[in-house]
Amino acid sequence: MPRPLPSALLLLTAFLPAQESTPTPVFADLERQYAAAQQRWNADILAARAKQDDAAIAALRTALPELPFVAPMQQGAAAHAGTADAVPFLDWLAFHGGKPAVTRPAVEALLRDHIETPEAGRAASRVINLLREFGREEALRLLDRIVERNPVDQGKAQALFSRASLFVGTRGTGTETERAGALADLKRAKTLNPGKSLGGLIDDAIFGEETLGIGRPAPEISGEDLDGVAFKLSDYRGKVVLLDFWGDW
Amino acid sequence: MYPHERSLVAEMKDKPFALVGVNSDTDRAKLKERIAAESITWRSFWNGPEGTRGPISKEWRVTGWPTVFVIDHAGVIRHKSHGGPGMDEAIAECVRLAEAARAKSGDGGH
Repeated sequence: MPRPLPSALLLLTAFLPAQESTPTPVFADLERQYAAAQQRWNADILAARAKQDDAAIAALRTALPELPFVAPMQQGAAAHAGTADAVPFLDWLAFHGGKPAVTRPAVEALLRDHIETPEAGRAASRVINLLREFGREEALRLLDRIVERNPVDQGKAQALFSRASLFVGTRGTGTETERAGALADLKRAKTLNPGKSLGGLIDDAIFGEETLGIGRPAPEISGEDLDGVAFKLSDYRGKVVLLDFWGDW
Repeated sequence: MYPHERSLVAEMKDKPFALVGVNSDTDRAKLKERIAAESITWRSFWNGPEGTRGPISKEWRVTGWPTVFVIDHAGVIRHKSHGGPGMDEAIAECVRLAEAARAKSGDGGH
């Protein structure tokens, strides 16, 4: 093997897009403490459930393990604002911050100042989570920004999937053209190595649009009613059917 | 959603409309008591003993309850949601089209 190769590789890596940033010691320490707090909380709630101690369960539900960490994480993000060191703090706040008043500014900062990081790609799912707060137009603008500017395949795939969910599926509302665009986005996302869990969601969304989408023939259902009497969905042809997946719980 | 479903069924009594459920409760006997108590009159497929992981909801990729589909008189899906905005409008529009189609084929017979 020719000698210059290792140094050439080193040179190359310098030009690769930013990968997972190395967290500051402060963040690493907070993250460790949070993991321990979470474990304690899980053990406590299991014990309270075993004892059927409703008062203790209610108390634990309001004393979530994330709460004491929100302020220090916000301080960390502020101390490193605009630099790569802020990213792990913002990522934590975006996913564990709880209230929109905490998560929204973190998502905004990630997409404004750190759009090329893997964390900005991950934040696409949070944009959908904050749909009511952002409103549809702003959510679309943010997701477009990730699709256009995030160089990480998985991040782009997440954003394409999140954007499509605004138009197709049971929560989407799109015109015929928008739904066709969303389907193309989902197929593109599938080519970007989305990984097993996101890949599964994308597959379901594609099936949901291609087989169960608006304008598609409803698949047949042959089953039994609650008395065990057989009947079919197509028995109702000629009538409008509201097919209602329900449960008494 | 029961009150809304009940009023929909009452309102659409003489229209080309049917509410068809897919029920994901695991205990059929207990459910039948509830159906009597809640005056649930519409027919439901049973999703089987696996409840929410049963075969019908799986085939229809249902992951949240309730999920609804509005299917027109020709068997085409026209709306899907979680019972929220747009469902009643979609039903009304589909019923209007079904009645128009019925009237037309009726005329053709004379």
